[in-house]
Amino acid sequence: MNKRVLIYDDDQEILILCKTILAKRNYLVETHTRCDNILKDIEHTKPDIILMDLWIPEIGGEKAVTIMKENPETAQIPVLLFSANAEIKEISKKIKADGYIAKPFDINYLLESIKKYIS
Amino acid sequence: FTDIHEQKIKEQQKDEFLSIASHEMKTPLTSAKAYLQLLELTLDNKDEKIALYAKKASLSVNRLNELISELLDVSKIQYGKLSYNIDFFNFDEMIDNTVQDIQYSSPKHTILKSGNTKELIRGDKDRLQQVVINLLTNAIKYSPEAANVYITLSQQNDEVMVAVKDSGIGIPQQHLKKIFERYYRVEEHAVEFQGLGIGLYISCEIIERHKGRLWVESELGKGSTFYFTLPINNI
Repeated sequence: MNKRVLIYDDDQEILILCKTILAKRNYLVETHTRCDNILKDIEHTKPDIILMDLWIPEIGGEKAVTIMKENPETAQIPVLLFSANAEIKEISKKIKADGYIAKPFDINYLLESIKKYIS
Repeated sequence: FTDIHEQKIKEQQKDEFLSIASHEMKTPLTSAKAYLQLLELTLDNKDEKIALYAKKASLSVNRLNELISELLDVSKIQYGKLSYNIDFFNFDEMIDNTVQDIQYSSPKHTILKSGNTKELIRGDKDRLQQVVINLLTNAIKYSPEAANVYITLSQQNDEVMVAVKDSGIGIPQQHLKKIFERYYRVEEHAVEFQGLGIGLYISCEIIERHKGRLWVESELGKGSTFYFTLPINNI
């Protein structure tokens, strides 16, 4: 069964790019340029992994990840921070994200990270 | 009493500016880098010329990304905001990985490594790797006619020492101390060798933050050796 990737990024171009890259590897990709209610999005999409931009409107990536990691029903879903922020490593540890992908990213690194954390 | 409220607001504004600047500059780079990589993968060497152009464009994007990161680091240093992630790590392994990466992207030179420390160092592995990358890329850049660049590891008492040696253009004596200053470039070579003059400034800041020392010995026309030391378990 194809794995589902849920991606949050405020940049439409990056979402199209990720969809193009991941579709080639048969991932089903759902994208959002904003995050109003992450629990509702997760319930709707049932993702196997989430990529979360730190700058996502409305609630911001840090808060979104914190909310899902504090909820027992969604805490187990791997989430990778996805950002150009230089402090991404420290932030991902602080909010207990499962990992991070620094932008600009290498496509192979993106694919390997997703594969690693889904499995 | 000193009103620190205004100071706190200014601090916050600086933090926000650095975050926004990083985000705004790196977002278009993210697309450019990934699309170029997609182009290379799609071509799969079917058209050598286009594949070469895509590769060259990719390298330029990577270089631009490095420059942006360096400029942001300089700003953070000025504001006292350069953060460090301190932990124990295998120093020799970090050096080996860095040499491998640089060697891969610099096929014209051979990086010859000797010595080891067998030490766990307590520090920011990524930042220290940044220093080694800076020294090795400088050694390669300023010795275009040479075949080799040398990196030597050693341990003395309670310090590890790294020496990066090239047999390139060398540095005039009067510039030796100044090259670690922000934006300083040796004027005679400023046009021939591109750069912002901030790599050594950042490297010096990182090494000093780790309570180490960074210095250079050089002879004009013969080459330079950059040294840095790090105390073992002393942060």
